[in-house]
Amino acid sequence: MNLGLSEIRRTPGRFAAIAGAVGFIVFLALILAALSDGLYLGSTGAYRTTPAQYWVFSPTSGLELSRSTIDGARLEQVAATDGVETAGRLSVFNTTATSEGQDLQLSLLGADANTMPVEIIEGRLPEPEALEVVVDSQVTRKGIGIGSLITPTNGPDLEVVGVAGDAGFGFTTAWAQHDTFLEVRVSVRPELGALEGTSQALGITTDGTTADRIAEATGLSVATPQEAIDALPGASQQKITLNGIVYTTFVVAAIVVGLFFALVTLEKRNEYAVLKAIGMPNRKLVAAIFVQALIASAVGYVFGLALSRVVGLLLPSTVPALFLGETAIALLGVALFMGSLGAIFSFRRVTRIDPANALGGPA
Amino acid sequence: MTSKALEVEGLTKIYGEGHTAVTAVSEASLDLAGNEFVGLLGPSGSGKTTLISMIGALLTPTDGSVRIGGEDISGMSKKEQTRFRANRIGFVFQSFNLVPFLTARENLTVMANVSDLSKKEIGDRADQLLEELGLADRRDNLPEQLSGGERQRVAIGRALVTDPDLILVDEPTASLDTELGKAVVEMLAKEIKERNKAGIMVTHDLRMVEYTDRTIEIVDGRLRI
Ligand SMILES: Nc1ncnc2c1ncn2[C@@H]1O[C@H](COP(=O)(O)OP(=O)(O)OP(=O)(O)O)[C@@H](O)[C@H]1O
Ligand SMILES: [Mg+2]
Repeated sequence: MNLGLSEIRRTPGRFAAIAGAVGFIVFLALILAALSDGLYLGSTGAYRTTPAQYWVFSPTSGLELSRSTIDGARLEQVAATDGVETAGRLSVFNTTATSEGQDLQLSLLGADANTMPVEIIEGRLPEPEALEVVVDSQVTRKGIGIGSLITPTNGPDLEVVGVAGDAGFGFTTAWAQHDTFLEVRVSVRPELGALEGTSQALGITTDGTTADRIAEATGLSVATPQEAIDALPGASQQKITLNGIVYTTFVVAAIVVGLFFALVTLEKRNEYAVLKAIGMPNRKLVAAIFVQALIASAVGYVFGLALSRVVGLLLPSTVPALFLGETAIALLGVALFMGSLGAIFSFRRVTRIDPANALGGPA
Repeated sequence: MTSKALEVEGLTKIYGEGHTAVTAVSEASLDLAGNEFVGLLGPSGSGKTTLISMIGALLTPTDGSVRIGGEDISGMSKKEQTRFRANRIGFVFQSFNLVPFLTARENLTVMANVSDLSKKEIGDRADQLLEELGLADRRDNLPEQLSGGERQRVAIGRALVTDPDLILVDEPTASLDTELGKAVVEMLAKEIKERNKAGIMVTHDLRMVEYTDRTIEIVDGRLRI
């Protein structure tokens, strides 16, 4: 059996210590990653979750919804453009609202059939003309679900009729039919009434015609969902910053594992000298350390993962943490890689130990 | 092929260079027959450890040659020397002998990792040696649960389990009291004799000499046979 495994079996305590240390670091990283995912996905869902292949904005908008207006004439022009198969409106406005006895910040989206969320988890899409909305699945954490009423300040009651996945767009997100949306907006923000009939952007599907061709034909800005997401103020920067912290955390994990094995190696100098003297090749000693580092990292990861999930359940619903399986798997890879990297720093220390030190008593 | 277990010729070790150079062993020559167990005696600093380190392929000589079972170890690469030590030489050290997290038996069978003998052969030899060394009922104990004498007996077992040609022993009784030391050395001598091995035991202690076939003295790095 591998020497490293035997050692873990016989002296599990010291490995529990290093696995625990790795675990807490992984826990921190997973919580940060969940925040990063939650914030990013929760504020960019509208561009991803609909059937639209491209988003069309007014030319000087910089691809930002709040700076873009598309009037009815433009909509007709785009819909009639060669290569465009479907076109639908998309608009958003933020307002305070109440629901289920709570005050909330509501991001109300207006969409047409072609720009509604595709992933309906529960219930159905709102009917045209009806004061109905479908909410993002994250909203259900606030106890709002099918049958709940959401009341924008100065606006009409909106009944929740469905729940959609990955449909968040900033705050507590609800989607209404575009005409319903305009009606609500007029009552909440009468000063915007002049814009009645216009939308902020259009979501389109094409027969394969490229974005460039459509931009050329219409004189509008045409973006892929990712380009539109990248243009959202702050979303990408926030993600890059948080992920930077996550990866820095793992560098700390590598250093902790590295220091641990450096210390252990120092402490076991004499033992290694004896093993080398009796013919144990460096390869086997190094493999033992490597296996131990991997196990400490893997066990630490499992511990950190479990802890992050438990803490995730305890987080208030206002914290936009989102625990994704794919992030967990990616970070498992990073944890194992960083653990191995930490162990590698001890390899030279081991290979440099002189087996001759085994003779002549304690060095 | 020669019947000599060990042939040492003109073996010299000089540590350092220039005016700080120390000649630890000077032109040592020595032959050991296939079943000879010799004691190596000498005052502190006389070069005992240096000499057996070179014989045991742990230290590169400045000059001279070492042949074990007819094979010249001086020309070997480090890797070849490691393999050679694993298969042809058995070591018993003064201290830090055993792997602390392995049981008595595992401290013997760990050699299956490095020996050319099969796992099964090593396992069978380990059981037999533990029996002979009076450790049969201690085989599953960790070193920390063994007495000093028992630990050295386990080390003797480990040195023999790979069926080496030559056993090198450095002050095996330094951490034991006289009676216990004698018992351990007696057992060591018996195992070496029974198996027809050659052995060199470094010792300070003249009382251990009665178990050896002959003694070699070293003073200031020079052998007196
Ligand atoms: N690595 C080294 N560098 C320089 N000099 C050394 C080194 N190792 C040993 N010496 C010197 O070589 C001489 C022989 O040392 P060695 O350890 O072989 O003696 P020894 O007979 O084993 O002594 P002891 O009985 O105290 O163990 C001593 O003078 C010692 O100081
Ligand atoms: Mg010595």
